[in-house]
Amino acid sequence: MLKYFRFVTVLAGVSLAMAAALPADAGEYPDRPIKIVVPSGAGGSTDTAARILAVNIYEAIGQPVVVFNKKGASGGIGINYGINVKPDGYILMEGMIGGHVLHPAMNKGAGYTPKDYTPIAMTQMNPNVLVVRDDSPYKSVKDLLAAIKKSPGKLKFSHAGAGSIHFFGIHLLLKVAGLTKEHAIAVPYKGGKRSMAGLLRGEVDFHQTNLVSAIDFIQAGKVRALAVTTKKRLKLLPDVPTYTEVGYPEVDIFGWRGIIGPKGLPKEIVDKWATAIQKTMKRRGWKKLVTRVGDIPRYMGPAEFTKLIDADFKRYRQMAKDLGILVE
Amino acid sequence: MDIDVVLQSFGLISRWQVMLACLVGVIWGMFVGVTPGLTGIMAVVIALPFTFFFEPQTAIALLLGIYVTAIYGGSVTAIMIATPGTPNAAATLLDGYPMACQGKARQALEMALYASVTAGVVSTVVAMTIFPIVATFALRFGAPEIFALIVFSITIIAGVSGDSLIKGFIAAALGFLLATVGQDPIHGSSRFTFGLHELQGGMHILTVLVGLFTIPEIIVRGVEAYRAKVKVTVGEMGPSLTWRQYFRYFPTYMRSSAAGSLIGALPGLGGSPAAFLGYFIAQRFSKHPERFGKGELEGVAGAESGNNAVCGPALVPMMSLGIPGDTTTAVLMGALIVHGLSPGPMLFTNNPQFVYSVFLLLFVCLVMLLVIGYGVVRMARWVVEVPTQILFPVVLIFATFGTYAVRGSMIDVISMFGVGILGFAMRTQGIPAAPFAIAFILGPLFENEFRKSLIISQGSLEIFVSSAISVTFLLLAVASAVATVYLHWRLKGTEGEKMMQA
Repeated sequence: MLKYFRFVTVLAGVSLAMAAALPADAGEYPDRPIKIVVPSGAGGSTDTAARILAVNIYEAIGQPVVVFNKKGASGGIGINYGINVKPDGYILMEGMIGGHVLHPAMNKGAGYTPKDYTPIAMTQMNPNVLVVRDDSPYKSVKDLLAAIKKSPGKLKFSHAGAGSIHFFGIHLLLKVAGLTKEHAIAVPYKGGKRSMAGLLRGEVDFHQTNLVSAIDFIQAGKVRALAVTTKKRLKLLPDVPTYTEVGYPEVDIFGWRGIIGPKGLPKEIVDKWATAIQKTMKRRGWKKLVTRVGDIPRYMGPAEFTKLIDADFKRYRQMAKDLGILVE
Repeated sequence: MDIDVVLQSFGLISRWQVMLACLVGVIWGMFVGVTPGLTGIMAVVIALPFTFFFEPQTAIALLLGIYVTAIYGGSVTAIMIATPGTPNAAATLLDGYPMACQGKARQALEMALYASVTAGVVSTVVAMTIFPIVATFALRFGAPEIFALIVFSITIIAGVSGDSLIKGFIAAALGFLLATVGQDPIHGSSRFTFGLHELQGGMHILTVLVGLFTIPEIIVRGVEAYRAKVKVTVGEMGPSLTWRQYFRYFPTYMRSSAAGSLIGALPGLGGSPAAFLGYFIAQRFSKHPERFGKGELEGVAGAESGNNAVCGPALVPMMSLGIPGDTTTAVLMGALIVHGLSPGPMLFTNNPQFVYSVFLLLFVCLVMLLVIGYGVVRMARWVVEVPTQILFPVVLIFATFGTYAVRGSMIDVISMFGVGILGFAMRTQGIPAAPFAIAFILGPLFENEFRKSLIISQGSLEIFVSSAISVTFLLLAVASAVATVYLHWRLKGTEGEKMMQA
């Protein structure tokens, strides 16, 4: 019986492979299922975002959308795969700030820059929030920065790996506050959730992460929020000032997700997807799921999205150079 | 534990939809577990989008069913065809496959099943009754504590080295070396990737396990079958496991479950180290440690108790702190978040019924696993009747397909054959494969936690002796190392005496 199971699997595998190898000439795009590469692990927030879109976009795009993960190297592995596929619109990527912008910005060996892919549309964003433990003596951004300045190389912060938003967010703050990377010690963890655990455990002194990861701990009184990266205060955290209010408006980093295609993706396909995404984002099913996972729905079309990515890349590449964290 | 709340949570799960979801999950998990290359994580990921449309309990029932069963399912192929269906089953293979070769496959399969279910129940009871303690416990383990635990676990290598410690260390050194391929965990620079982007993610564990255990077996058995020129089959499943045999190893289930539960409650370690630790503990307490690796029932019991004991406790840091214990619990967490049940410190306060209902569902899944698993054990006899000449070429196809399927990368297939040739060469020299596998699994954890600790302490080694937990584990590691050397010395001694007398 087991053998038959396996036989069936092979049969299914072979027929799928054959189906995939068929030429894509017939009919109008799309005439077969579309794949979305998620450059990070299953179950993470980027993965969830992709899957929520995939189950909702069927009506608007007219074909099933299948999500698969290719994780590793801060997103580099999946993105290197996603940019090198045939630009026929049948393999696209779930875009994320970490893998698509921050990783290549600080790593010249990443194998790609934003020039090597085609941004289609942003679907959602997530602000960041600076947190310290509840028993921490620092009550404000000013307190924290003063302490860092007073004893350089003493305070530590946790992050989810060099090139993650957690890593860049803090460095951005240090830079605009006129400090250097030597002022605070960066302690790497595997993923954002574990870097939050590092803060809770007292291994580090501060941490900047996306709102979703922090909100529960803030509401439970385990950590204290010092600032948020949005222009206006958040409804969820009415007492927490924005970075603009505390004098560092440049710290406006936020996580985003969207759909990105390979280089040279035809304009018709880009527009078709942009329209389909816009339509899908109006669906109640999509909105409900996205707000539940804690993201804020936010549409940005191809032109605007490309502009944001290019500007961010330039800014963070420069920042990486200035801080001496650029990997050649 | 509040009994009223537990009773209320019974209400949440006693619906036919929930039970059906459990059953579907268990069957799907079993299928995936016994198919090399399809791992538990892939199975839950495929099921995840469906759960978006379910009630939270139904969704979690489906995913839990897959999670629990896939861990057991992997051991079926490990025992029958020396191919770990999932990485968790590597330790089961060490004694399970020799048992199958000796015509005792049925006992091995049944032991794996009963030990899995027993450990699952024990660890879930522990997780459920002392939920708040386990929740804070996970936070007590920082980088230096986990490092000390890993150091202790590394002494397992000596236990599975067979007759020669030196050869075991050679194998372990090779495993550590291979584990360094990929991105540096701290600075993000590439190591031994030869400019290949696909290697930046490192070698996949299943690639290494299949190369190490399955390929040499295919070569050896192929040559055997070719020389014999007759139909070669194992031919028999052997007798069933008796109740007496099951109860004899009761202390083993308990000890190895305890080890597995500990690993499970700590984020980031997962089932494979737990299986090896369970195996190791079983060997340490066994009256016949020298029989391990040659087809010892207790070895299967230890390994399977170890990896299945992870399930219950792994849910605790996930639900109480929002920190998933392994990649599969990370997907479970994703499912909870989508249903608006954000795991974290507020979940238990706001929704204790839900938390307990998850544990109750785990029991339901384990009972279903027992039933479905028993059916699979009966079906496994088809495998032993297939002649080697046909069976092992088919296994080769599956090993290749499976390795490709994990990440969809040809580099993985090439590496798998590379490791396979290395594994075969090691085998001809009598260098054991198990220390290689353990070193490969623990190597990255060892490096990462060590370097992270030193970043936290800014270079001072004192951090490793600054907490009671890390000191305890380091002392245990020393004791374990000394005991191993003594054991080897004594065994060598008696062998020498025997030779003298002869």
